[in-house]
Amino acid sequence: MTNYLKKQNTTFWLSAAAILIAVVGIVMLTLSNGVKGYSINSYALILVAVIVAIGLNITGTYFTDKQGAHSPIVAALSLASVLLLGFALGNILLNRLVLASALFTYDAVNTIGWGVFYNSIFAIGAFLTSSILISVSSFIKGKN
Amino acid sequence: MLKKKQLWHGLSLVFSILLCFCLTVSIALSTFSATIDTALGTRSSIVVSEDDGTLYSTFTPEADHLNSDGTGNSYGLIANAIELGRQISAEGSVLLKNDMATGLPLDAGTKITMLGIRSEVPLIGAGFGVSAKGPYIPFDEALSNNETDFQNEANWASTAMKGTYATMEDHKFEGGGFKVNPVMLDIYAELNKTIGHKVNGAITSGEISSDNAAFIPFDPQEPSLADIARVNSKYQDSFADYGDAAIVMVGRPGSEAADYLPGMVADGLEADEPLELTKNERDLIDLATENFETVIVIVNSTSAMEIEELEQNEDVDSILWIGFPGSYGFLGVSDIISGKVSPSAGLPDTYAVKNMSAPAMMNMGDFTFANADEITRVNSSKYLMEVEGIYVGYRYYETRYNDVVMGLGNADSTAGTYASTGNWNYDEEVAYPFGYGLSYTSFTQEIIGTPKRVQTAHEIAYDFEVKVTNTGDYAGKSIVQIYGQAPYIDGGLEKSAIQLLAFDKTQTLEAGESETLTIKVDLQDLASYDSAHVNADGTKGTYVLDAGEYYLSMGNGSHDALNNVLAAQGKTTANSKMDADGDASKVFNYTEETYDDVTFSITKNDVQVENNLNMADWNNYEGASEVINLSRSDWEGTYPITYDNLVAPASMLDDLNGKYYELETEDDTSEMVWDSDVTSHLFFQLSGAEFEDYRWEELLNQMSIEESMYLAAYGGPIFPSVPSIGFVEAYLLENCGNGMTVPLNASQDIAAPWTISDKDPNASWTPQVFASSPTVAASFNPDLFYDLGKFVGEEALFTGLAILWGPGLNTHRHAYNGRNCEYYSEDAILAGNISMEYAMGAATKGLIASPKHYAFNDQETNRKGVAPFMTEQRAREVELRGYQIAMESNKYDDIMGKDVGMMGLMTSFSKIGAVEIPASRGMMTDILKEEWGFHGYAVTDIFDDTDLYSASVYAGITAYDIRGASGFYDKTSLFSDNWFANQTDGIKLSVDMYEGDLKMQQALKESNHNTLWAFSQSNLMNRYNASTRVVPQMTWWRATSIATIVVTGGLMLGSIAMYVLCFKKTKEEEEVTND
Repeated sequence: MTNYLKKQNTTFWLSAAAILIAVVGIVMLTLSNGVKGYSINSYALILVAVIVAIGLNITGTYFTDKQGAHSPIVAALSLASVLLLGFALGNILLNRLVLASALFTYDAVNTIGWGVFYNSIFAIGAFLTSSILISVSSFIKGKN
Repeated sequence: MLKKKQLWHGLSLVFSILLCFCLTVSIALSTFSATIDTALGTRSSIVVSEDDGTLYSTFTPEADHLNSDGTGNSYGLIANAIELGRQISAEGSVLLKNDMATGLPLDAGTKITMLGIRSEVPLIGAGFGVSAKGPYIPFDEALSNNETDFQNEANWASTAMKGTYATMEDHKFEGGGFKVNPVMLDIYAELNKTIGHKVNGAITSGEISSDNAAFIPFDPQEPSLADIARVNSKYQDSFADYGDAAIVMVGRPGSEAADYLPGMVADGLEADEPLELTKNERDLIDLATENFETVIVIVNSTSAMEIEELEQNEDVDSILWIGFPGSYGFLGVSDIISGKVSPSAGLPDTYAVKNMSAPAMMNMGDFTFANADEITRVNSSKYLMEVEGIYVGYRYYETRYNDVVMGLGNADSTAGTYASTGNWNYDEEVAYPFGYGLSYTSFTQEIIGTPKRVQTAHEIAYDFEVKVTNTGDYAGKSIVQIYGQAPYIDGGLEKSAIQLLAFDKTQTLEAGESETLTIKVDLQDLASYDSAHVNADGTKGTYVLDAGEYYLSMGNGSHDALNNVLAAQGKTTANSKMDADGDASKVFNYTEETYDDVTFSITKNDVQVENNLNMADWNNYEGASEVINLSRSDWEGTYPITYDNLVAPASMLDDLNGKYYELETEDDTSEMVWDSDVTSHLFFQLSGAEFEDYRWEELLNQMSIEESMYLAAYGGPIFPSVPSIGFVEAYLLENCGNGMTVPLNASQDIAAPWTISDKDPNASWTPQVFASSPTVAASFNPDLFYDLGKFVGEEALFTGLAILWGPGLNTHRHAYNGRNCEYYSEDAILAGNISMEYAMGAATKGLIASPKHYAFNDQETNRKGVAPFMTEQRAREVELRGYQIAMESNKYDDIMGKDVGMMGLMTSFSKIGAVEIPASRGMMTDILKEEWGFHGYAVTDIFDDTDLYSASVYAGITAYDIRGASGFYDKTSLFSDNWFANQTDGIKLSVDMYEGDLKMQQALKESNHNTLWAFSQSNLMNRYNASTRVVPQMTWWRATSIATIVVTGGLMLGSIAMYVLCFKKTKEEEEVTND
């Protein structure tokens, strides 16, 4: 394992970071969703999308080793992964928009709501960062 | 260097991120199109009807708001708004103290220095909630100018109001003719660059957090004398040129979502309470009294400030309370200062020397159940014990005073003493009583003859003829206030020793002129609620009149009226502890020979009264620790204590956890008719129809249950369509009470012939311009209330809105509720009459006023879901009575010869006892509809109790406030809407969920009937005929959004295509190389 890791390049590490950050995003999403009265209607769908995105990313890493960082399979997997993460963060954003508008106006003193809001923001931020890292890694030469 | 394959691979991912972002934004824009349309002045859809000659004829604007060709005349509208705003403040500003020789009024040309940051940045509206919008006329300009430049940003209530306004030449007025010291105004303008006060100021530094973590001490941020000197060390030199009079302005903001809190004042202000004057404010007063012969203090606050020290200060010549005057009210204030108008208002609240002396203050703030962990429903762990009972405001102070004079119930003990040096003393506890106000002239008020008793089976009233004569030198108006005292039996029902029952106001009377007013006093408002009374049918609770002596008295406020009653009872300053001799000639005394539990046991709607709020009384819950309610039989022993850390008993937990309704699944619902094609009525055909019109049932039968559930869910601002009856989806209502909060160029009904176009010089003018509720209330002028409602109805025609969420009708439980600025008074009779007049005036223009918040929004702290506990007597007499007056509108039944009343309502966030108000059948049906005969639109507060859909619809709610929702059945589906996704009963909303529940199907129809009927009485009917439909429109923001999707999508696909091409090329090159 250590040898394997030593042989990996920037592309690998960026993908690994993207996966880890996506996992953090799942945790924040779950915390946000778990508060009584603030569950997200499409939580299950979002969760599945992110998990699939992570899976595609891991698969992409495998095929990078076999076929190079820019093979069609790797390109398709990374594109699908980013689209799924985009779907996830967009869904969270849409689900929390009304909460945000309330917190910034008539419900400013709702500390529980603010907690839910911040966790949602962290989840969105995590999924966005993960997408960006995958995108950045796709510009890098990588192994051929 | 990047190879092309890498580049296109990377770019395809980048553009895919951007595409996701653009799609998300587009969906958000589409979902909240209604809100965005309002904010940007666009229209995503319009309601269109083919003109068959019947449109826009039911409700029309006044002639002077129209041009000769029927188009809208914005200049006329604004001119009349300015005049009305001026009149409201001229009649609603209360002169509390005045030395006619040295104080007000001031002569023309007087040179005035204004002191206080509020002289430069006055409070004209609430910080959050009922603000004043658009260009306003500043105080100094009202005093000195004849025109205001509405295009000057400095005169805008908010820079967010940037837009198109007519020039100053178009809005001339006659100002006060004074000369105002510009040096001080410039200094304060400079200071405010740092302070940041706004004319719609909020209580930003007093906000409450439910976990106490964000309690922030309040600071009115009045600059010190040193601060002033730092800007201009020679500022006092300017006094020489403007030394005739000083006007010192002190103020306190008001706002939604925040309260003043006991003791929460910033350090270093030398004030113990937030409504007490601070050192800097006192220093200003001293500066004024040391440098000016005439000192006038203006109190710019809707929260009762502690100003006894100003009353006692002999060097303060005049005190004028103005509340929040709105955009144009300073013209009226200037009229008073100049003597053009004699002040004629009375305080809508008691001004205590120390606000903490109100017994309600013992239980104000943040209280959490000790066993909150047993409460599973969100926002249900907070409570409030309103054990002061009926003794709120003057009901407390005057009743205790009465008992001191009469030697009852140890009233003169030290319990509840805050300002008295020894035992409780009224004069030391109260600075200014409710209803009190001075004038520049004097009046006599004389009861003509004997008031005529009018009695039917279920009514007792007295018709008073009161002759009012101006015996002074100034022309002026006079308020006739009639109060009542019912006989109190020691140990019996709690009763206020004096209670406002009726009022009216004269026209302007010249010196020597008289006017006779006819005033009806309805004793329904004096009857006491006895929740222990056993009715003939075995139920409990009704209104009673005890046998004994009744006194109906006129007076300049509650205290004067009570002193008159005491005089009629033989009391004087010589033989009792009265603080002033009364005038028995102002009192009408009669005897009720027998105990009467019949007359008011049946309501005007012919319904037997009974207890409906058992859940409100803490002591009714089995296992609850006892709480003691304040009783005048023992002031000392029952004076409220603070009930902290109470344990919610097990018997209460189901209520707190929202278990109000259990869905039936086995009922036989075959009698219910849905999707009927027997009739084909269209909604518009019932325009103006009576509630009982047979066609309503047929119309409702045409609807599907899905349509019914949607209409019972989404109550605005956008309503869902009901295709089966030709009701189209449209934006139909807005918030506020002091005017419509939509600018003229954002009308929701652009087909109206009077719609103001974007090109109009006044296109950006927003009609939310009038004074705050307490200022309106202080005028005590029923005609003015009606005119205000009618004008707001006029505004509704110009902004295309049929329903208004307003005005505010809660009573002021104490001075610390931040939202007191939106509510009229501590007295429900005054508040109820105002709302009635307002609603009736609005209805003449087809606007359905929906007062809020029904009920018991007694503090903003924990307002979402707080459980206020009280006796049913207190609930009915102190708060609900106001709603009852407005809903029954008995005065207008007589005038219009038919049953009329308010047709709208908004519930509060709070509970009543442990039960959410929207889910309380006692509140929403038994009292509201059955007892009071209410028909109409009854909506929740914003996003409130959406987890209680079945319970609320069954209780009597007609819809929810789901602001922002639109595109129903398609974009917004009730059955997957996040707001309704988590029902407390665990049952997901579905179209067939009520198949086996007869009561729910009936409740849905009842809900729809009420909503549709309310609309049928509104200006919505102006635009409806058989051809009415919604036509979608492309807006610039939607077009931009679509364009961004196309571009980013195209770029993503292009990148993918380029990647594929590059890959193929690379492959070919590799194959060639290999070959």
